[in-house]
Amino acid sequence: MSSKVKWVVIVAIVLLVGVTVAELSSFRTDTVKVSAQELVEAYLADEATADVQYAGVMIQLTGVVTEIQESPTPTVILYGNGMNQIQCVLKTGVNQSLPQRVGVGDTVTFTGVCNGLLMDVIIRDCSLLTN
Amino acid sequence: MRFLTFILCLVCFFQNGQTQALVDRNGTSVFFSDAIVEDITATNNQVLAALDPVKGTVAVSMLMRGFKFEKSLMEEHFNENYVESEKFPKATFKGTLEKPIQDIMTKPGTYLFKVSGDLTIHGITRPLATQVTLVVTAGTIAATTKFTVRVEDHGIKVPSIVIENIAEEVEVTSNFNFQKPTQ
Repeated sequence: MSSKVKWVVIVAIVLLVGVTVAELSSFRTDTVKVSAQELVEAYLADEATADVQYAGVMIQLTGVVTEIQESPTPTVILYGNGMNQIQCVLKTGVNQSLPQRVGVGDTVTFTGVCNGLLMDVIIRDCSLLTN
Repeated sequence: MRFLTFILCLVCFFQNGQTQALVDRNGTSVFFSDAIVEDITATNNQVLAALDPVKGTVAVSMLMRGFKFEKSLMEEHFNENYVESEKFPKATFKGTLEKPIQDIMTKPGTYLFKVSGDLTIHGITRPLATQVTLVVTAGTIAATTKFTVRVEDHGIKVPSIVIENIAEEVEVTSNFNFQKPTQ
């Protein structure tokens, strides 16, 4: 192998490693564990900071069920504080029977992706982990 | 947070008076793009809306990440390349109905109102004037509105390679269902 070809191969490997590391570092895969009340309090204290920490991130969320909605999208509401709750929007096709399996007052744990704060904190693609 | 404060103030103020603000936490907004190559529809079922029946003030807020597409790749492109949801997470509308609605709240029927205000998408605010249909029943007020948004007006850049996939004007339809306060 000529020295020119060797250098081309070395540069290609370095570029490949660099791109892979950059991709992996920008892809947040860690699941953040948080309670419903902690999440609501974090958003009410500082929405921008909470967005940096939670928005677009897979979270594992534990809280008490206050309401179950069948439509327009199956959603379980968890207690946050008096006025601001957590809406866990269930993952399409996976949790269609879930509203029948959990009840108001149950303490449950969901995994899902945090969308952010409106009046409630919205979590999408929720799957029930335990109840 | 300022928008949330605005809505909370509406709610708190009217809870102290005789008339309560009407709030829907699960409104729906659908946008439809009719382009040369394909039609694209996305739905958001977690839209927050507040309506002050005495002043006729309206406030709507939604998270851009809340729009669900038929294909996950479309959703990814929408959030990352077009509306930049991480930088501009919300779309909002603050406006006023042409007149208060307290007089019609106890009169079941269908009513058409003009509404005008400011629509903010992608961090850019533009005036919006449209109409809203209110259907009053014994316990609820259902609101429906439809309007078009020029993508360019809100600084959303569509790469030339996909220019035929995304319409220049997107049709937005929103539905809200407000529970009337119990007397």
